[in-house]
Amino acid sequence: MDLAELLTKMIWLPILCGLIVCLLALLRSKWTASAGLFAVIGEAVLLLELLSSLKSGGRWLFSSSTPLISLLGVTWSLSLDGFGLMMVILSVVATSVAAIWEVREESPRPGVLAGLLVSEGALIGAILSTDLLIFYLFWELMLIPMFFMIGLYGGANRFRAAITFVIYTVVGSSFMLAAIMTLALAHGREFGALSTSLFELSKLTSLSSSEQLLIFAGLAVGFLVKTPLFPLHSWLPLAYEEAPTSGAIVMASVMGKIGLLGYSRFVWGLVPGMAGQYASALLWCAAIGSIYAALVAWSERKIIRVVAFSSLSHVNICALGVLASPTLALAGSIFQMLSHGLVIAVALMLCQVMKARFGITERGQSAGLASHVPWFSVLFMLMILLSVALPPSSSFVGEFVIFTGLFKSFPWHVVTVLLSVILGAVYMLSLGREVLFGEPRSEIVSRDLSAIELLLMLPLVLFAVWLGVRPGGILSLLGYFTN
Amino acid sequence: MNLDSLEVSGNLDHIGVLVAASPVIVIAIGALLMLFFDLFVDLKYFRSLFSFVILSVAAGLVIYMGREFGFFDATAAALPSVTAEQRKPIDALGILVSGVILAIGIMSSIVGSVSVAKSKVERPLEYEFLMLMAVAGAIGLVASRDFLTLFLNLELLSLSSYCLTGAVLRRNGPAEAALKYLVIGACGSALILYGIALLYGATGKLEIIEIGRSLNSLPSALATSGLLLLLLGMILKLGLFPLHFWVPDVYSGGTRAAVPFLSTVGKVALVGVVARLSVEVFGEQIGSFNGLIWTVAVLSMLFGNLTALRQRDVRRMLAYSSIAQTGYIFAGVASGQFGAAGLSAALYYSFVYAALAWVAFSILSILPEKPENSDIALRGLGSKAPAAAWGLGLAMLGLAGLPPGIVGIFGKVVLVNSALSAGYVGLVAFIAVNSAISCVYYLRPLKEMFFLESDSDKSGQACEASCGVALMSSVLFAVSVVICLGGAMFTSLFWWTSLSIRQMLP
Repeated sequence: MDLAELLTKMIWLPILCGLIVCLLALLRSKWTASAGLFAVIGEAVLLLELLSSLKSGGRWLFSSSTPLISLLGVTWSLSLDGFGLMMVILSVVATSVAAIWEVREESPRPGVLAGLLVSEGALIGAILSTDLLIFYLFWELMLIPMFFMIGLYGGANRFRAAITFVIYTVVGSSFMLAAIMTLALAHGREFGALSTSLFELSKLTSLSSSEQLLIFAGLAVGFLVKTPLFPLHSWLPLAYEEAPTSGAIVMASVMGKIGLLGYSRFVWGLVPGMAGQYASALLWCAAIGSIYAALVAWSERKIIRVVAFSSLSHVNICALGVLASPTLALAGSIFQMLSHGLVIAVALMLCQVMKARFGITERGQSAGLASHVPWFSVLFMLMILLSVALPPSSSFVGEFVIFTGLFKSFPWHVVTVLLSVILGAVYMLSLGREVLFGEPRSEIVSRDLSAIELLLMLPLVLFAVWLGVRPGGILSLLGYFTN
Repeated sequence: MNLDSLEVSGNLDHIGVLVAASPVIVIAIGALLMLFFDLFVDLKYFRSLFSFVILSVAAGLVIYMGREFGFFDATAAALPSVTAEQRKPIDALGILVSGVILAIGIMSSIVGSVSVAKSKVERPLEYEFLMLMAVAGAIGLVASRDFLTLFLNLELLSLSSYCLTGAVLRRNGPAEAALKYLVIGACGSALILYGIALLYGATGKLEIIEIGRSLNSLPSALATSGLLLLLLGMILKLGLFPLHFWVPDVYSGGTRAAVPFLSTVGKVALVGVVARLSVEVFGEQIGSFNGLIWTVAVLSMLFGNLTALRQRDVRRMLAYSSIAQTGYIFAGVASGQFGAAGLSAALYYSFVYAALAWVAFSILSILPEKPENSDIALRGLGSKAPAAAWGLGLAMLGLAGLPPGIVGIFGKVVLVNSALSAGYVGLVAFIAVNSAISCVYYLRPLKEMFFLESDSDKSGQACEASCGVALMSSVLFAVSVVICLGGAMFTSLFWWTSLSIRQMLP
C-alpha cells in the first residue's frame, strides 16, 4: 500500500483498538489484554513496513496532502522527515515496552492499555501532521488518555496531578490556537483563501512584526509547556509521581519531545525571525532550568521525584539544541532525545520494581540491594551511567554534539549547562550508592527481575550503549535529514 | 403588519405567507388538539407520540422550505438574493434556526416518551403542551419580520417557559425558580416592549427592515434609546452577566425534565433574533453599542467561569457555565460589526452549545439525587451506569473544547477566527484563558464519575433497577457520541449558517 495510506493507518489503528479495548473492558471480557497486545504488535508491524518502504531524498522523506475542510483551509497533510521518523520509532517502541510491562502483571489494567493505544495514535498523528489545525487536534487528544490513566490508577494526589497536567497544556494550546488562526487569516488576506497547512503558510510574506510576535508567543507557549521548559514545568513532578508506570513511560519518553518537534517544525518554519530573536532568552531558560532541576533532584527524598527532576534536567538540555538554530546542535538534540527516551523508560521501570517488590520509595530506605538482586543492580547502575552521560553512552554523544554545535554562538549558555551535567553526576551516583551499596537488610524480600522484565530493559540499555559506541550512522542520517 | 406590502416573486412564488407560517400553525393547532384528545384517550405514550408526530410534520415543512431556498443544493454559492422590495415572508435565517429548534424539540419528545415508562423523572401533565407551545413561539420568534409578531412570539415562548419551569410543585425548587423567572423575564419583556415602542415613535413603522432603513438615514435620540432598551432586554432574556439572576435558579431548580429544553431552545431562538436585529435594525449603529456588547460578553465569561468553579452541584455548575458560554456567543456578536463572520460564529456556537447542553441536562435529569440536598450523586457513576457516565463525560469534554468533543473545538475555532478577523486580539486572549479555566470545572464531574467510588450502594441499585433509565442513558450516550464526533458535519452546518447571515446583509 502506498505511504499515505500506511501512515493514516498507523494513526488510526491504535486509536480504534484503544476504543475496542475500552468496550471489551466494559463487557468484562477476558480478551481485553490480548486485544491490547495484538494492537500494539500490529502497530509495530506497520512500523516495520514503513521502514522498509522508505527512500531518502532531501528534507522530507514523504509528504502528502488532501483537502479536508475547505472552509477553513484544513488539509489532511502527512509528512515524514528524519526527526519525525525518529519520533515515530520512539513512540512505537515506548508504547510496546509500556504495554508489555503492563501485561506482565497477573491482572493488567484495561484502562492503561486503552490509554496507551489511544495516546500512541494521537502521538503519531501529531508527529506526522503538517497541518496546524489537525496537529492541534491530536495535540489535545494526547491529554485525555493521560488524564484518565493518572486519575484512575494514581495515588492519593491523583486528581490534582491529572488536572494540573491538563490545565497547563490547555492554557498553552489555547494560545496556540489563537496563533494558528492568526496565521490562517493572514494567509487569507494575502492569497484569498484560509489555510492551515505548514507548506502553504511558509509562503507568507506579509506578516507584520507585531503579528509575528503574537504568533511566535502563542506557538512557543503551547510547545514549551509540554516539553517542559523551565518556568512552565510544575505539572511534571506530580504527573510522574501519580501516573501508572506504563503511562509515565509514554509521557516521559515521547510526549515532551513532541513539543520540541513542534517547535522546530512550526516555529522555525513559520516565524524564524522571532525565533532567532528570542533564542538567547529561551536558551537561558533552558540552561537555568537544567541546573535548577538538577539541584532539586539532589535534594529530593522520594526516588520517583529524583527521576522526574533528572528527566526535566535532561529534557532542558535537549531543548537547547532545538531552541537555537544551528543544524549540528539540532542533530545532537534529536540524538539526545532518542537516548533520553530509552533511558527514562528503563529508569521508570526500575523505580516501579523497587516500589512494588522491595518496598523502597525513599532514599533513606536503601538496603544494599547489590548483594541481593544482581540483575537489578546491574541494570540500575547501567541506567545511572547512561543518565550521567559517561563516554560510551548515547547521552554523552548527544550532549557533546549539542554543546559543540552551540558553543560558537552561545558560549556562556554552554558553560552554564555544563554545571548541570556535573550536578547530574553528583546526585545520580549518590542515589546509586545509597540504593545499591550499603548494609544489606535481610528483611527485604529479594526477588530478582523476571525474564520478561530483563528482556524489556536490557535491549533498551544495550541499544543506548551501542548508539554511544557507534553513533555515526544515525547522526549522519539526522544531519542529512535536518538540513 | 401590512399584507399588501409583502411581494413574492421568482421561483419562490408559492411560498406564500401561509406556507411560511405553516410550521407554527401546525404546531399550535396540534397542541390544542392534543389537549382535547387527551381527555378521551388513555394511552401511556399518547402525548409523547402525538407531539413527536406534530413536530415531525413541522420539521418536514421546514425542510421543504429549506429545499426551495437551496439549502441542500451543493452548488449554490449564494442563496437567491432578495432586495427589500421583494422580501419573502420567511428568510434563510428563520428556516435554519427553526430547523435546529425542531430538532431539539423532536429529541426532547423522544426522550420524554422513553422516560414515561418509569416515572422516576417528574413529568407534569402539561409538559408536552407547554413544550409544543414554546417551540411554536421560538420558531415564530426567529422568523418574525416585524416587531409586533416578534413580541407576540416572544411572549408565547416566555410564558410557556415560565410555566414549564414550575410545572411540578412537589419540591420547593421549581416554584421559586418559576417565580423568579416570571418576574425577571417580565422585566425583560417590558424592556423590549418599551424599546419597540420608542422605535415606533421614532420611525412610525413596525417592520424590522423598514425601521432599519429609516434609522440609517436619520438616527435620533429617541431611536437610540429604543435600540438600547431592546439590547438590554435581549441581554436579560439571554442570561448575560449583569442581568443573569434567573439563570442559576431556573437551570438547577426548575422542573428536571424541562431544563434541557428550556436552556437550549430559547437561547438559540434569541441568538437568531439578535443576529437579525443586529444586521437589519442596528445596521451601522451597532458601532456605538459595540463597547457595551464587548463588555457584557467579557464580563459574562469571567463571571460565569469564576462562579462555576466554586459550585459543588453539577447542575448549578452547568447553569453558571452557560452564562459563560452565552458570553462566548455574545463575543461573536461583538465581532459581527466587521462582517458576517462574527454573527455566523455566534449562531453556530449557539447551535453547538445547545446540542451539548441538551445532552448534559437530559442525562442529569435521569440520574438519582442525594436525598439531603438534591444534588446529583455523581460518585462512582462510571462503574454503575457507564452509558450515562460516558454520555455526560463526552458532553462535558465538548463544552470544554477538548477532544473527543470535536464539535466544541470547531465552535471555538470559528469564534476565534471571527474575533481575529475583527481585530479583537484581547478578546481572543480572553476566550483562550477562559476556555482553560472552564476545563477545571468541566473535568470535575469526570473525576467524580470515574475516579471515585460511590459512598453508598443504595442509589446505585436504584439506577440500575429501572430499565427505562438504562435504555434512555444508552440512547443519550449514542446521541452524545453523534453530536461530539459530528463536528465532522461542521462544514455543512457552518456553511448554512454563514449563508443565512450573509443573505440578510444589504
